[in-house]
Amino acid sequence: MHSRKKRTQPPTPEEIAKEKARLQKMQELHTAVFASMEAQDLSTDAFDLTTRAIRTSSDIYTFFNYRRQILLKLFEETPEDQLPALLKKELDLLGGIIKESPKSYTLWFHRQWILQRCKNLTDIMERELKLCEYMLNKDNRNFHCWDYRTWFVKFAGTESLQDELLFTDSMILRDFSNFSAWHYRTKVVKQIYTGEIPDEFVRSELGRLKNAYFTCPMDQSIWNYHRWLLNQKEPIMITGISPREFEETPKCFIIGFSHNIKGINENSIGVSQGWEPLQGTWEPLYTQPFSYIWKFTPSQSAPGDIEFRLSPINTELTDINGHKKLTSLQYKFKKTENKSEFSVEGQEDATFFESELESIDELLRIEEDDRSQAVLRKAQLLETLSFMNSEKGNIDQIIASYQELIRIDYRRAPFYRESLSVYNAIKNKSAESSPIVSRKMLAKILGFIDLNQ
Amino acid sequence: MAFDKAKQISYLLSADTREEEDIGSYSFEHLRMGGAYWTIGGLSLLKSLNEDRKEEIVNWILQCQHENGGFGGNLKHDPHITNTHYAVLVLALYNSLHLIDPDRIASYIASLQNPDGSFKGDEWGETDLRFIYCGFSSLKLLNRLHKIDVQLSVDYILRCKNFEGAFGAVPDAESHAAYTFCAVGALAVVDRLDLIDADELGYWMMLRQTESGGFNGRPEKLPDVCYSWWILSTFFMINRQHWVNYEALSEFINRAQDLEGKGGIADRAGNETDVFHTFFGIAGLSLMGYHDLEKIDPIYALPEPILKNILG
Ligand SMILES: [Zn+2]
Repeated sequence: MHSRKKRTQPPTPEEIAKEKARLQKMQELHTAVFASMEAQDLSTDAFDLTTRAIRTSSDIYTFFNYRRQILLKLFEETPEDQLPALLKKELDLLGGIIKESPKSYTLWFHRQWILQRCKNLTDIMERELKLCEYMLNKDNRNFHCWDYRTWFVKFAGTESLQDELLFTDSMILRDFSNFSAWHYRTKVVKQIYTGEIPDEFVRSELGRLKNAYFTCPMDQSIWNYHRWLLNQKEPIMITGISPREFEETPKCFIIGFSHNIKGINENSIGVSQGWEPLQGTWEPLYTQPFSYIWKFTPSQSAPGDIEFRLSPINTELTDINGHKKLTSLQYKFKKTENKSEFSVEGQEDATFFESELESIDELLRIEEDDRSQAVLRKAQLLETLSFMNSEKGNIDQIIASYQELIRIDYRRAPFYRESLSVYNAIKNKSAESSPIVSRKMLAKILGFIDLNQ
Repeated sequence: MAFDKAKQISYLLSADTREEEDIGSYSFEHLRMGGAYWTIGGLSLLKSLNEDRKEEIVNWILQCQHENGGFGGNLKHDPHITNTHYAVLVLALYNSLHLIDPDRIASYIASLQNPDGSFKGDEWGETDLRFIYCGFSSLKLLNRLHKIDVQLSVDYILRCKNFEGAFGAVPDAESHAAYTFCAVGALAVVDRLDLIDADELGYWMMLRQTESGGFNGRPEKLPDVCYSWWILSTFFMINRQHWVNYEALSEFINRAQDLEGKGGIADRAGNETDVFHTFFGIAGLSLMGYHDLEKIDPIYALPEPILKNILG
């Protein structure tokens, strides 16, 4: 059903006759298989019939089911020492058909089913990995094959993680655009480094990525991995505070975060009014348990100025992708008669982010046409830098980036416009009238909007 | 290029009688249950489904049911959860769900839930996210969700989620738009959309819209009409559809029509048309509210009036 070119000419009578003959033959074969199924024939003749059937119709799961019934009987009857040969023969047959029909769910599943019955996997290891390599050379995005490989490596359990990393190296070098390989790399890296990914590794990955994005600046595979990698080094930060509700009873205020997090409580972030500690409760707004936006309600209202300090206590929280470091920055919010001020003290280690921003700027200085993906990534880095309290996180540059994106990548203008209106609000310290649907974006402008609307 | 409603209606009406359908392709006999759903569902969205063949088709579906309650893809074909789901959908389209015993089907589906929460496609054990969606949707339509451990499957779905907020076929698999639909659809059926990050997922899906206007299913792949359904419906489920360029997407679908020949919609312009892409193209247009089509529900892929009848 996919990628079948439309005929430019109607089929000739010969073609029709040939196709009819082929279908006729197939029909006869299918009829024979169903008849033998109905007769519950589990003989070798029936087995041979299914061999023919799965060759011509590799998508018909019923034929594979029937074949497995016969195989189960064969396994019982075959002496132990001859079983490996029987299984190998089945794998040989499947290998041939898979090369013809590389996207058949039933074929790949049948291969899994056979392997689960193989005792000595070390013998098979090399051959399975070779098959995958062969198939991925023909189509490096075949997810059936990638998923099979992932399954097999886990199942066999003998391949080293370093070898898997090298495998993705070779696949990526052959084609930067192969996101399947980049994706697999994220999974391998996470297995190698179960805790924090060391700076050294991140640095060498960034070198590899720089080479890739200077070669193919529009390739989303590269930027997607770039985003994943740097996200590993990005702590959870506070992006905005809204005190409006504090003037009403019951008093409370709303805090926005850079990540979609859960489980904040008094042990995660300390709150004080002026220098007086405030006890109170945290609850997620809009969505739960994960939310970008949280509400803090003090247990008793303290009189005095609206001046709050938020000090992260715990070093780790959970965001929607797992454990994540909490920032060490300190936040202050102060509201006087006609001015509100949200300020951040301290600075996160922004080395990677600043140097990547420089790299991307370098790319954008020479790249005139294929810019949109790099500009988008630049805007994201600038945003992160601004939350990190780095002076490189320049709001005007974020605005300029989204303005350029609206011009050069107009297909995605609706998304860019929503982002742009957020940064215009931050710059002007007041929100525009267009509604913001994204919670992640809303979390950045809590000080300037009325959440009750 | 304009959308040719009349042409698509006649294409779908003659879908299973056209001889040339098989010329130059392969046999679709095992996909007949799916074919019935795509054809009848398409006609229903085009507001052109009549009862002429209702009795014949409903009887045929009932004959595809097996002892264990599951349905095969055609007569004589083994039962499978995808075909069971298609059978339920077609019976729903024909207002005929009362003709089947919901408990029998529910016990078949419940028997396919694995201890880790995933679902098998059938007793032989193939497993991926498609089957959870089929299971959840069917059971909800039959009002039998209580027959399975919903939380267990919800946990499994989340194990298939990647950093991008999108989902792969199985845990650790690459994010793929069709599996993402299955994951988000299943979570929507059991009202657990709170467990996903709409903004991250919306961002990933927003990047799927290509220069041609059509969506691809993964980064750097070719666009394809069927993702007009998988992705756009997911956008609707998470309420971020305003990030989609409707005009460009509908033009991409319209260009994939075969207007000179037999009709239908292909995966993309210049390719052979089929009922699968015809249905998903029309479904995408329906979500966008074009051409006075019947509104389709983004979670269940059934026309809204039909769904309202069933779920109330
Ligand atoms: Zn498609």
